[in-house]
Amino acid sequence: MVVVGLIVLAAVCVTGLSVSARQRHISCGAGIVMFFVAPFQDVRTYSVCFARRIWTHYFFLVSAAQDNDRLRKQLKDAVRENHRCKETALSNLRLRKLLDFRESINEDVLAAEIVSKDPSPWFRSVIIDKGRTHGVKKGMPVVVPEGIAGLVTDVSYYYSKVLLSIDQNSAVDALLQKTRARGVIRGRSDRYVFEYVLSKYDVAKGDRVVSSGLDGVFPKGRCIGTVSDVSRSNSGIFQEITVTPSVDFETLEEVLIVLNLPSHPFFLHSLPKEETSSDSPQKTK
Amino acid sequence: MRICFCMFICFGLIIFQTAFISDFFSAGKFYDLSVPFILFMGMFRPVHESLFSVFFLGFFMDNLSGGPFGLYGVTYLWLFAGARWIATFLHVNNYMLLPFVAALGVLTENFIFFGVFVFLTEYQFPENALKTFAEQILWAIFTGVFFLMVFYHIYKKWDEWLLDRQAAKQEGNGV
Repeated sequence: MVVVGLIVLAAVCVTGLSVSARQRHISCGAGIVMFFVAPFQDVRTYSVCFARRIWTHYFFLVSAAQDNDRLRKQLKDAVRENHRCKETALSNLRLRKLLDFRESINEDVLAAEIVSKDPSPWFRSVIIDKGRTHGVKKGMPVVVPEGIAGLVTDVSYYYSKVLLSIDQNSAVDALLQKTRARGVIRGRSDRYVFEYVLSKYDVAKGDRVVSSGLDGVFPKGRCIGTVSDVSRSNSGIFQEITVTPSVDFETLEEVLIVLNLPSHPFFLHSLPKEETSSDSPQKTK
Repeated sequence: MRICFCMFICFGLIIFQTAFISDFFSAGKFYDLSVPFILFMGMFRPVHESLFSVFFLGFFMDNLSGGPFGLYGVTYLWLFAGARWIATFLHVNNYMLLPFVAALGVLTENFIFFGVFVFLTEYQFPENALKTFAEQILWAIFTGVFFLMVFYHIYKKWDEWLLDRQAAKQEGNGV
């Protein structure tokens, strides 16, 4: 009896399975099961994901934060180094230009760096890092490759004050390169005024103005600037000429001091003996 | 001690405005930083201390500048006198008034400069003189009060430190 019952059960199972295998959409109470089980599964899944997220996004990030700090520091160092290299390259260019200029002129010159500028906008002077101990003396001209820059007006042991040629107290004997008309270049804070040029001379915009060398201070032929405006009145003897400086005084950083004292006989006679005699300045060339 | 401190402040101020400020403002478009300092000294500090600062700053600025020697010294002296006079009737602790005091100081300095230029020298004003002048005044209005307050707090801390030191010394002597 038992055996027959087992055989019948087996037959029912085989038949039922074969029917359900053929028809896959048959379900019985799946919805109810899911209703009760799924929330717990969901909670478990969420918990595992949460834990995994915490593990991967927090504990692992401790090292990531350290990496971040290290990389940030490296980036900062690299940026600083980059700035330094750029600054060095620019400085190198400027100094190379200055050196080329120094080799191209006949005078003995001394390179100096500007350490401070005039605190007032109404006066134009700078302090340079070369003084009496380096052979600098009051009255020495200061030049740059672009042209004349100024004149040493005060000297201390290690520093000197240079009155820039665009200061109103500055005056340079100059001439027009083309017509050789003479006059006096005076500073006007950001430009020059070329005074005492006779009306008979033909002056045009763009004409170059150079130092005449007759003032006994600036070497002859150094560029001063170019004519930017000419005004000629019918009655006046002189013309009013405005000159744009060839030197950019706003960005001036290094200058050359001409150490040779005036060699013009007039100035040699007019200077005191100790100035003209033995103490020749320190030569750098 | 007080004089040394004054010298230190003045020195720092001179270096700051000749070597640092000039890097940020072309051709001195920023106003003279000594002005708020002189005004502060005139309004809040004793005369002997202030006068020392006036002459010290004036002497240094005259030597560093390309202007006629004595111009800064005289200007600072007048500014100092003006500040002391203003302090007699103006409530100088009012922060709302301080920007105008600073601007007035810069205005006065430039007027003295212009007066000297016009009457005593052959100076010809540059084309952008008015613009420079206006820029200085505006900077003084917006930043002058800041410098005045910085000076005020520096000196306040300094006075407190001096008083503490004095008290400690007296305790040490068993007074």
